[in-house]
Amino acid sequence: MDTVIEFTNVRKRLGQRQVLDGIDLRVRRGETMVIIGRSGIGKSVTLKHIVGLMRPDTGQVIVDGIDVGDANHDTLLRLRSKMGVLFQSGALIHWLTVADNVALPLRELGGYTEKQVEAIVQEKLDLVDMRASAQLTPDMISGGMQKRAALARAIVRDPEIILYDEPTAGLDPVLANITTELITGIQKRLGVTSLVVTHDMQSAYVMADRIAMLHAGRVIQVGTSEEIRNSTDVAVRQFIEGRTTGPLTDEMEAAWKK
Amino acid sequence: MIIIRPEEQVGTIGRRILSLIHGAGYNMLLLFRTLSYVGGIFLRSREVLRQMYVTGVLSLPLTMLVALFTGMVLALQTGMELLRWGIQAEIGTIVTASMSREMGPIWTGIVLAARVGSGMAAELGTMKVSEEIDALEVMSIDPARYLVLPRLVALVLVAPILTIYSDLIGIVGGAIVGQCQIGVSYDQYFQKGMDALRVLDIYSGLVKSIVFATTIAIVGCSQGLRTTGGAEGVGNATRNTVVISLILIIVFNYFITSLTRWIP
Repeated sequence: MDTVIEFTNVRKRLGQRQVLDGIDLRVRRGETMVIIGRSGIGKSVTLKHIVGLMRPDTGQVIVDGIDVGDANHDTLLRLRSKMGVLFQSGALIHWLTVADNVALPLRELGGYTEKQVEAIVQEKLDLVDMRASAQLTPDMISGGMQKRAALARAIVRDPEIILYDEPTAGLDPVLANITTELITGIQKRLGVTSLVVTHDMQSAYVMADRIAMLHAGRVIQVGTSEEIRNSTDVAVRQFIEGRTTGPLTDEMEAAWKK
Repeated sequence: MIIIRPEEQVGTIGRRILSLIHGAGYNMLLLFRTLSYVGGIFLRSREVLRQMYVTGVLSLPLTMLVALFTGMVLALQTGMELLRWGIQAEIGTIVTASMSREMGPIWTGIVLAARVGSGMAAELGTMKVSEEIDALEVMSIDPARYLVLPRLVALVLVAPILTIYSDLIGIVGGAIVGQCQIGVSYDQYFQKGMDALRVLDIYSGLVKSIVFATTIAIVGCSQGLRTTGGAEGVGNATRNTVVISLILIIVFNYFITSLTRWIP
């Protein structure tokens, strides 16, 4: 399988903090890669580099052969048309209905008749089981439904790459499982490349073809669910077992003292 | 005691100047980028109408109230003074000229900055921190076209109308005070007012209102789009919008008034 997303020694400083400190990562076409790591470690920052919402201070982010850091506005638009992003909060436009939110990219970018837009929207809403809520606004539906609606919007243009930012965050275990099943279902049906950022290990094991663990601004291990489960790296073990003592917490305490 | 070293002070001043230049540059770029989409405004007519309702219709009561009392206090202050010289009938001239040239556009601008500009910054700022703006960008939808354009056009359309209302209500307020407290009849007052009114005053007031509306919309949207952090960031964006808009309104008002002096 060829590489579709490639990070090479990417560094990014935000304010006084070195968030990414030399990330190297390769995502293969058609696979689901899950990035795990503690909250605030730079997982979402990593995703934002892929869609060009952030540019690296040094290093390269290559997506589908395009260097995102050097891409001009038009190149970025072309690249983004191949991608769908599910934001952590759903990020639905608050005054539009669910159906209008899903239809937004189609209507704004043109090329479709209103009849075609309606048909595509219905199809995608069916895929995430949201047809019944099509005419409700985001404030009238639950967090889980907002994420499903946002997922329908993310896949409305049949993207080749889907990025998920904490898809199960803030959901109860049942809803989290439903969302996880939805993501794996979409992955199977559409055969896209998926990159999921999460700290929900249960979901990660189910979704991932491979898992990458992020720590101290770097990828410290990449492997299959089984390899991560059996990892001997102390930081990886502490994270997946959720222990309160170990290198992850030691480092946090050191940072506090500093 | 905290000792601030001179080099730190210089650094702070330098950062503030750079931030000011960056802000001004961002506002200008946002204005030009938004104007480049004006050709497609008819596709956004529904949103423009919604914004016209929010910015125009809902601002009307406050604008009228402010204009009414501005006209009344103008008439009272000048009337009491003119009464001593027996030329109190001139309050019609003074209130009409002041309202149409300066007070109407300025107070309408101030009301719009406080009510509409801050609202734009708060709404767009909240959208920014809840990732709605990022979502638009990754869908290849330019926020300047989708969010800023309808707000800018709506405000530019309603501001002159509000200014005319403001002028009229202020003049009427002056007439009421003239009649009730200064002893100038409505006939006298309005006759003097009509004599003093020049077409140029009305035009300059309308030009001012359009410049102020553009300033408020761009500053409000730009502050909203550049919001960082959470609730505190939204608060900062809202506060900055009002402060920057008011400063620019006062400055632009001076320059436009100066320019009208050269028109015969």
